[in-house]
Order: sequence, then C-alpha cells, then structure tokens
Amino acid sequence: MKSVPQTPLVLLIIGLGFVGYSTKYNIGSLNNPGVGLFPILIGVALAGLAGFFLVRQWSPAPGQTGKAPSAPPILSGKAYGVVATLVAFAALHSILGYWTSIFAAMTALLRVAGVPSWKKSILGGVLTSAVSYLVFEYWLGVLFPEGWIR
Amino acid sequence: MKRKSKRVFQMAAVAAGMAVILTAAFAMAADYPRKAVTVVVPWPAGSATGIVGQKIVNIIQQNKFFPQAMQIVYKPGASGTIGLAEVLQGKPDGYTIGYNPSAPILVQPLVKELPYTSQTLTPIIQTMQFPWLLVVKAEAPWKTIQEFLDYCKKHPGEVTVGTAGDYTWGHLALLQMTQATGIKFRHVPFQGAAPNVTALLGGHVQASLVVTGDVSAQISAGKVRFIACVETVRSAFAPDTPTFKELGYDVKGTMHTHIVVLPKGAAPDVIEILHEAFKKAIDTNDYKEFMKQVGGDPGYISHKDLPAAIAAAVKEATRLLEGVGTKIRKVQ
Amino acid sequence: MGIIENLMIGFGQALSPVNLLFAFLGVTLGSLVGVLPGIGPLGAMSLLLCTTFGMSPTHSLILFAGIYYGSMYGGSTTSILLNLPGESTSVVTCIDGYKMTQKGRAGAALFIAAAGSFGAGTVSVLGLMLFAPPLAELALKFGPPEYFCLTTVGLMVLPYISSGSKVKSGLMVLLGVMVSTIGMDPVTGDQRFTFGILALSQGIDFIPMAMGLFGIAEVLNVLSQKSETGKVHSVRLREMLPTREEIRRSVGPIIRGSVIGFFIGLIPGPAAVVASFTSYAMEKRLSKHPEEFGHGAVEGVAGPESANNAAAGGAFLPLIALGIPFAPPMALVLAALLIGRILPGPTFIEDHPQMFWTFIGSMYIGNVMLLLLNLPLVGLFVSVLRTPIRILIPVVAILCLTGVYAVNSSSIDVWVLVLSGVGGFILRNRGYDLAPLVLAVVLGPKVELYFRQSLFMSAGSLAIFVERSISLAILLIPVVVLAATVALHFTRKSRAGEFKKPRK
Repeated sequence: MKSVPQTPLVLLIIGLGFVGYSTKYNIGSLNNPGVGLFPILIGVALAGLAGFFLVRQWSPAPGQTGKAPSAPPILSGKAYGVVATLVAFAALHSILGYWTSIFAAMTALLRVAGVPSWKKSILGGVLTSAVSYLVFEYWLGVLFPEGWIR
Repeated sequence: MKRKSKRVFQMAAVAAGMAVILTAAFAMAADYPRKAVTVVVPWPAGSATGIVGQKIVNIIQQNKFFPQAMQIVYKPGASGTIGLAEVLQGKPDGYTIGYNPSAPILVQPLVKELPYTSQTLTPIIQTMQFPWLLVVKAEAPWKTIQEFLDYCKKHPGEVTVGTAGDYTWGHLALLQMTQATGIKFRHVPFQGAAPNVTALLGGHVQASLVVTGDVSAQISAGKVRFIACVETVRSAFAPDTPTFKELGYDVKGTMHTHIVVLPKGAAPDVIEILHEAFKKAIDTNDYKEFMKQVGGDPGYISHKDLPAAIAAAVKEATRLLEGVGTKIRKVQ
Repeated sequence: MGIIENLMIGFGQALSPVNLLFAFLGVTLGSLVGVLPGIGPLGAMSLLLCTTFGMSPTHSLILFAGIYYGSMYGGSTTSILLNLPGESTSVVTCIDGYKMTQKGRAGAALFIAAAGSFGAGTVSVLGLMLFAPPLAELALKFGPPEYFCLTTVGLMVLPYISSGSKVKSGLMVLLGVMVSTIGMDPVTGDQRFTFGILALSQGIDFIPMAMGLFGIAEVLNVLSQKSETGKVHSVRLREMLPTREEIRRSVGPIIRGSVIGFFIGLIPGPAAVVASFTSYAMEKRLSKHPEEFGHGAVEGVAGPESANNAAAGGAFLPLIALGIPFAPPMALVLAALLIGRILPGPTFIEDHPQMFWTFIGSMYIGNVMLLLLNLPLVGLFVSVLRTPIRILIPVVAILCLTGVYAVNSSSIDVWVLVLSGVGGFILRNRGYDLAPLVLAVVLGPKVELYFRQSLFMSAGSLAIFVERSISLAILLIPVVVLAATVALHFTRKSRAGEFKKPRK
C-alpha cells in the first residue's frame, strides 16, 4: 500500500483554500483584472498540479519512484531543540529585548548543538550577544527592539 | 493653639506638595528635549522624502537649531503607512516624530484601513511643496496643452497617461484634470516615479503626471517638455507652463507636501520647540538651494494653519475619489 | 576626444590616493555586507547616505559603486560555504556551490566565483564605456508587455534549474508565487491575505525567507544527521585551488554569464537575480554533463556568479545614461549624487566627462582590488569550515536571527525566518527543491504587475502582447525551445512538455 505523499496533499489543500479565500476579493475579468484574479489563477494551478501529482502517484505505471514507504522521522531530538529555541525567540524577542533574547538563544543553541558544559554555553551566549551588539547596533547603527531594558 | 498649628502645618504640607508636583511637571515639560529625538521617515533612504528629510535634519544639527541630537530612521513600507503608523501609535512626548509626504496622511486613510487618520495626529510644520505637472516627450506632436486636450477629446479613453501609482497625488491630479475638462484619459499606474518616467521616455505612455524632481534631468537634456501645471499657481521651475486654472478649468490643485507630525495630544511647548527648529532650518539659504536641486517649491505652513489646510485637502480628495466610485472610509 | 584618451585620464584620476581610498573602502564594506547575511548593499548604502553630505559626488559615486559590486563578490562566500544566501542574487550559487563544499571543493568554488566575478566586472566596465547611450535607448524600448513576457518566461524556466522532478519544482514555483501575493496588491495597494495584520501588508520579504529556507533549514539538516564528525577536514593548499579541469570548464560559463548578465542588468527590477538563474539554466542546457548540475558542477558556480556581477555593472547604465534608477541600490546612488548637487541624466556623460571616466577607471580598479582581496581570503574562509559543528551551527543561526532584523527592522521577518526554516527543512527532506520556490517569490509580483499594467495600456486588450515585436519575440522563445525539446525527445512522452503548456 503506497503511502499518500503528504506534501502534494497539503499543497492541494492550500491551493484550494487559496482559491476559496480569493473569491472574497474583487476578481474582475481577464481583460480587467481585479485584486483577486491572479491569486485565483495561481491557486487553481497549484491545486491542479498537486492533484495531478497525487493521481500520478496512485497510477500503477511501472518504475514510479514515490517516496520510500516509510519516510524516516523528520526531526531528531537536536533539531527539535533548535526549532523550539527559534520559535521561542520569535515569540519573545520584542518583549525581552533583542540582545537578551540573542543571549538566551545562543546559550540554548550551543547546548543543543553539543557544547558539553553550561558555563561555556553561557559564555558563548554573552560573547555573541556583545559582539553582535557592537557590530550591528553600534557600528552599523541599526536599531533593535529594547524590550524591558528600556 | 495646637490645632491651629496642625492646620497650618497641613496647609503648608499641601502647599509644599503642590509646589513639588507643579515644579516637577513644569520641569518635565520645560525639560523637553532631554535626550535625542528620532525622526522616522517612512520611505527608503534614497527617496525624495528620505533625502530632503536627511538634509533638513543635517541643517538642524549643524546650526544647532535644536538643543539635542536628531537621528533619522528609515522605515519604508506599504506606501509610507507602516512607518507613520508606528510613530502615531507611540507616545506624544516629542521624542519620536515623523517626517512624511502628505499622501499617507491625507489620502491613504480614505481608502485603507489604517490605525490612524489625518485627525489623530498633531501636525507641526509643512516644509515643502511639490507641484504636479503634465509632461510629454519632446517629439510629441502637441505643442500646447490646448492641442493635447483637443486630441484627447477626439480620442476619448485612448490617450495613456502614466502616474506614480494609484491613490498618489499624481492620480488625484489626473482625476482633477478629468473632472475639470470632462475628458476621459487612460490611466496607467506605475510603481513610483522612476518607472513612470521610463515608460514616458520609451513611448509606452503618451503623457505623464510628475513632479519637477522626477524629470529635471530629462528637461535639461531636452528629452521631455512640460505642457501644463495641474495647480492653481505656476511652479517656479516651469514659469512658462500654464496652469489649468489659467486656462479656465476649475482645479483646486494638489497638496503634495512634506509634513512633520507627532501623535495626537502633544504638549504645546513641545510643538513650539519642534516648529521653531524646523522653521529655522527651512529659512536657511542652504535649504533653499537644496530645494531647487530637488525641484520643490517653498511651502511653509505652520502648525496653527495646518489642520485647516489638511481638512480642506482631505475634503477635495474625498470628492475626487468618490467621483470615480471609490469607497471612502470616514475620517473622524 | 577618443575613448582611449578619456580612459587614460580616467585611470589617472582613479589612481589618485583619495579615490583609491574610497574605492577600497567601498569594496571592503561591500564584501563585508555581502558576506553578512541579511544586511546587503542597500542597507549599507542607506546607512552611509548621511555621510555623503559634504563629500564630493565623485567620491560618493566611487564609494557606493564599490559597495554594490563588492557585495556581489561577498554574497557568494556564505552561499558556497554555508548554503546561506545573503542576497537574492546568491541563491543560485548555493545550489552547486554548497555541493562543491560538501565534496571538499570549497576553495575551488570560492576561487572560481571570484575569478568569474572579476571577468564579469571587466566585461561590464567595457560595456558601460563603449555602449552606454545606444544600450540605454534599447533598454527604453522595453515596456510592461515586454517585462511581462520576460518574467513569465523566467518563471517557466525555474523548474529547469532544479535537478529533481519537474513537477515538484513546478509546485514550488506556484507555491512561491502564492506566497508573494500576500501583502499589498502591486497596482492598487489593496491588502491581500493579510488578515488585518498591518506588518503583513508589506508582504513576505524575500531575504528572511531565503535565509530561513536555506540557512536555518541547513542548520536543522546538519543537526539531524546521525553521524557527527561534521564538516571538519583539514584542507591542503592544493585542494583549495581549482584543478585545471575545473578552470577549463569555467571559462565558457564565465564569458557567457558576463555577457548575458550585463544585458539583463539593463532591465529594471530584479535583474541580477534573473541573470543568475538564466545563466544557470543556460549552462545546464549547454553542458555536456547536465546531470552534474545540482551535485557540484563548477559551471553552476562560474556562470551565475559572473552573471550577477555583470548585472550589477549593467544596472549602472540606465542611471548613467538616462538618470533613471532601475533598481533600489541605484536609487541610492542617485540620491548620493543629488546630495552632491549632480543630476545624472541623458547629458551626464557630456556634462561631467571627468566624473564619468574616473568612475569607469575606478570600477575597473575596484574589481582588481576585490580579486586581490578575495583570493587570499579564500584560505581564511575555508578554514571557517574547520570550526566544530557545535559552534558553527549556533553561530550561523544567530547570524540569521540578527541579520534578518537588520534588513527591515520588522518583527514579522523573524517569524518568516523561523517558519521558512522549518518548512524548508521539511520540504527538502521530502525531495523538493527550494531555489525555485524562493526565486518565484521574487518574480511572482512582477508577473502580475506587468500583466495588469500592460492591460491598462491597452484598455483591456490582450492583443498587446503579440502586437509589439519585442514582446512577441520573447514569447516565441519558449515555443521554439519547446518545439526543439519535443523534436529531440520524440519517443519519450516528456513530462516537461506537458508542464510547459502556456498558461494564461
């Protein structure tokens, strides 16, 4: 039993959803396009192509290489750690302040990536935060959110 | 005796307390500015607004018209609305101000849902004004605006006119032309002035609505000509170009200007201090020279007169846009 | 005055100590911002714009030009070493460049990239020098209908740069275009798919997405691999230089890439990006070993790197010859000139010959400087790879996190980075190529914009695309290529042929 390739299915759904949502906008005609025309065309094309791909996977043509029946687990433990850190960063950086968050993120990442001791990770975090601050905010003059420091 | 002294003591305490509070309040207000001020320009650094804003801030810094440092930050995006929205959602303490072209203030709130309107801000000063002109290629067959309009009458809806975008002042100028003359043009909106001018030079549109700064190089090189001015008075840069008003058409002109703004509710002396600083800057010869360079006319309006000017412009823009069927949001 | 004499004078001026200093400053800064992911030449120029008040316009011009083409050199470094494109122009270089690094040929890749960039720089200087006015006139003939045809054909070419299934890449292209519709409609500015979030009305910015799809996804990828010896290998000098074979194979792509890139640079919009993947597609078509593309073919680095540098040079042409900026960095160069009270325009070369020729001379010198700067640094850059994974990976991630904010100062970008990173990792794992996705995000809005503008011009008539000769010619290219492909693969029912049915 061939496994259903997930990605085209997801894309099919996204494409259809896109088409549905686009109808809220003014479509106009091909000669006088409205805001929604282009998205609808793209959504239809995407859903269409995804659907075509799915059908092809199911057709019994010989030599079809689909995905390996059991796709290997996607994320290893370490990768989960990185993703968690990044998501936390995205969510919290404006509240905590950029540089504090960078420090926390770097410490976490170093630990996840395999640096054995907490001390070294924290040190790395401080160093990175300080250097980035100097380079970006001081030297290049870009402003970053201050968070609660201000 | 004791009760009386207690009463006196109480009154003295209250008086002292009030004195402290008043002094503190006074000190805080009188202390403006206590630290550097950020000027937010909601356009990219290389844009006309960016350059002019930078120039004015430079002049202020060099001549110390303002007691603290002023720092420019560029926050481009969404036709100037993102940076402006950020400024206007901050505190009206005078430490974050906006230097904007007028379109995001006056026109955009009419057609888009934005977290601000022209009523929810404090205008400080208007620094510069840009007149809108109609240009054609030098080789175009129409020598005067009358010839052009006659041609357009004979070919209604066919003559292509380029602008820098929908809901820009150029677009509104075109709408004014349409309403005043009763002629239908074919509007081709571009993303900004540069593609507009390029299309004109390449012959992809037959005429364009521009401000002088967009085409100064082309005018000096003789590649394009001004043919009319869509304002009520002639522009200093095109003294030989007649205005629509002169020709007998009823146009009110545009209000394409730069305005310095604060969120609503700023203290009067903050406004005064900022106003003074900018006014001194635009009175310098340095600035006047620079204005010639970028093609702007002087357009000083003080914070006292700005609300009325803004309201009038909003009214006119509403009228024009409603005239072509655009849904207008209420700006209260 | 003859060209040679002018050139001599220009060189003489360009070699003056002050001008040399500005050139050096520019190219160094440019290389630096090119290497740093996120902040690019646009950011650097914006930051430096205030310092140009008071500088002579010649100096500003030299400085900014140096930053611009310097960043093209630097951008390839992170693409090759870390699969992290700092610029849209370096995305294509990631494809084969990173694979070369994984095969141990990082030094060679960097070397070839630098050499190609130098060749391209030379070609574009020559082009600017000799052909500025007539080429400018040619560029003007392109209007919205032509741009529409170009960008649509560009989108159709995208699936061909990937080595995997065309259908999968086609899905990525469509997904990319879909993502690009989020935000403001290019014509009216109406919001689409923003769900009321003002920050989204800007749309999904390309750089955070590219950094996520390539950089963060790679971080996740490396960490997910069970074997943990990582990329540490000691690199011997001989391995750092390209082999004779590699050099030989690069010559053609470099020449072709430079010429193609220069001409594409004349067109407004994302010219350098288009140039880079056009060159890639072309080299893949012309190569005797097309199956190597995507696995470390040196042509896949030589061609695109030359093309994007040449396009950077070409982008100056409309500015110098017409006074019109065709790309945002050019607008900043224009601003710098305006501040120096110079107004570039059609008469720029006549009115300011000294400035023009000094600029030309300085561009050439700048290219030489970049070559001299970058080649010895190849060893240094490659040794970066020796850093243990557990330090390198977090550094890369943090670079992305800081760099992304430096672009637009927008918190949404951070989310885009993270989400594209995760999404990109999953897609790669499932065998989907990411380059077409990200390039489609760049091209998508243009396709729609030019389509609608063309219809404004023609009052709704679709005939405009075939009435104009240039536009028609461009449209015929895929038809011709399609016919050739079908003829060549007559027996095989080519899926490519099915996919290439022209879409409205």
